[in-house]
Amino acid sequence: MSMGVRYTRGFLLDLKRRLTFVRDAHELLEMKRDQLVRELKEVIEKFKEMREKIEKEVEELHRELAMVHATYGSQEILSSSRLLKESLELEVIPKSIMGVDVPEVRIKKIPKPEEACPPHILKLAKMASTIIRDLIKLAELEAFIERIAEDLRKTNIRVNALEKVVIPSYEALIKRISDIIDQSSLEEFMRIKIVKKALAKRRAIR
Amino acid sequence: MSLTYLICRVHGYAPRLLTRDMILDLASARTLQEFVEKLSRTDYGQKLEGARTLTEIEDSLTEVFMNKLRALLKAASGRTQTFLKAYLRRYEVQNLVLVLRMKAGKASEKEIERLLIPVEELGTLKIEPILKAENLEQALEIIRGSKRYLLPEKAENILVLETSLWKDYYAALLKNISKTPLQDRKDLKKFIGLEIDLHNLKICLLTMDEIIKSSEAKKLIIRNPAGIPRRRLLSLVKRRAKDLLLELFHNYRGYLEKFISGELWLAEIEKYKILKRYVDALRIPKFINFFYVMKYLLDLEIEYRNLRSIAISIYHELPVEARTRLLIM
Repeated sequence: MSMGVRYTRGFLLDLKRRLTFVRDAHELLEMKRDQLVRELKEVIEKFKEMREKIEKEVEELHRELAMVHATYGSQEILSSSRLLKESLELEVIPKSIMGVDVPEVRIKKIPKPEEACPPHILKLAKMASTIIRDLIKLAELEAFIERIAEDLRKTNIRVNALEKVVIPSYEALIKRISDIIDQSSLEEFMRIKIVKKALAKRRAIR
Repeated sequence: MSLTYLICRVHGYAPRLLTRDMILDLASARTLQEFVEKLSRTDYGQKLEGARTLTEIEDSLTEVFMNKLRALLKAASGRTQTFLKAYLRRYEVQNLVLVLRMKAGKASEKEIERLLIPVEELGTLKIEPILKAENLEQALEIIRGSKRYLLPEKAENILVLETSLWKDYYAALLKNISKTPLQDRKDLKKFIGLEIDLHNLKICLLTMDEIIKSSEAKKLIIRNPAGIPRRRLLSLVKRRAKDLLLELFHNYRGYLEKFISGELWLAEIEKYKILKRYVDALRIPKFINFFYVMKYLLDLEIEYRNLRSIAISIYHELPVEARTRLLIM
């Protein structure tokens, strides 16, 4: 810690004020860390569940696709997929959670299979549409986890730095300055005593 | 060339169809390469040479299938050939459906061309001008202008247009039955009626499930003089009773059940199974009749579908049990 150390009472008081501030900051950061951990735990649980669900859905979709593809042939699948008029449009809005910017994904437009797909492809198209929605949600959660985890890492570093380096160094410095000030005031006191004694002796001789 | 010549030629072609055991053996292939190797010993060998990807294999299978149809058409003559041409126009309709869908999706000429079945002389329309059309409306105008198909002036969706094409196809086909030998007409009518019934029942169920609007169902149900009357189907649609359909049309029970369960692809397989069952039941008495040609045509299409289905299921790495479920046997 580089700061112009002055062994004065004023500086000591300033240091103590700073230490109080750092301790408060440490407490706040600890609270933030705990909250982020809680949020992260919750989202990770949700993410795991969602991932499992999507894995199952993708498996089912692949099976259905294989069956439909094998029954009707490639031409049917390719030509039917062309009938979807709208393309997927997304909007990403930043949302702040404990000061961390996380993306929130909003679907602006999504192709509606029921409006365009031939009936025998409809089930497959609906399944794919649901999976796309779920995948977007999963991507949103993944981005959330990444950002929160990154912030948690930084907060942890800050908390540890305050706990293990900054606060102890402030305490040590305060102790050193207090010791030095105490010692110098004792010296001053002793000096005054000696001077007083000498003056009293001189007065007695006169 | 007489009808007897055609039937004899078909008797010559029929043994070259792949047997059930061969199809099952092909279905057990582990890779597409193994599938091609196994098929190389058959009629498909020459065309499949060098085919590696699924698209190449599918294209080769389609080419062989089309060549077999062409050979059959060449062996026919006169009125029989006219009927066969009317029957084989189904592949032109399939192409037109593909073109309309792709045009609706603003696909390029090349993209559409890649998907088409090489119909050539089996069709009645020149496909190139339709492919060159700038948009769907222009393509529809060209088809309307050809006077071969009566397309509605205003169609809300592609499904209505597709059904209009099929309606025209079946109307022409039923009309051409008069070109076939007298003793075969009844069976042929029944056979075509079966196909139309299955299409109509599909529309009924989709309307009951509200996938198709009731107003559209009227346009989509094809008039069937050889099967369930349109009026009866429309009244059943109004009542929205799927159970009643199962009860009334127990011949189609398997098809209806698969449809109701939501597995439409299984229903499609069942459709061919029903047609095959009907044709196979007529096999012995119809062995030297024109209907034998129809049986061969159906068997040929089933063989093509089975081979395509096997190739695609190998590509998707489906287990052998799933592959055999997809086969029409």
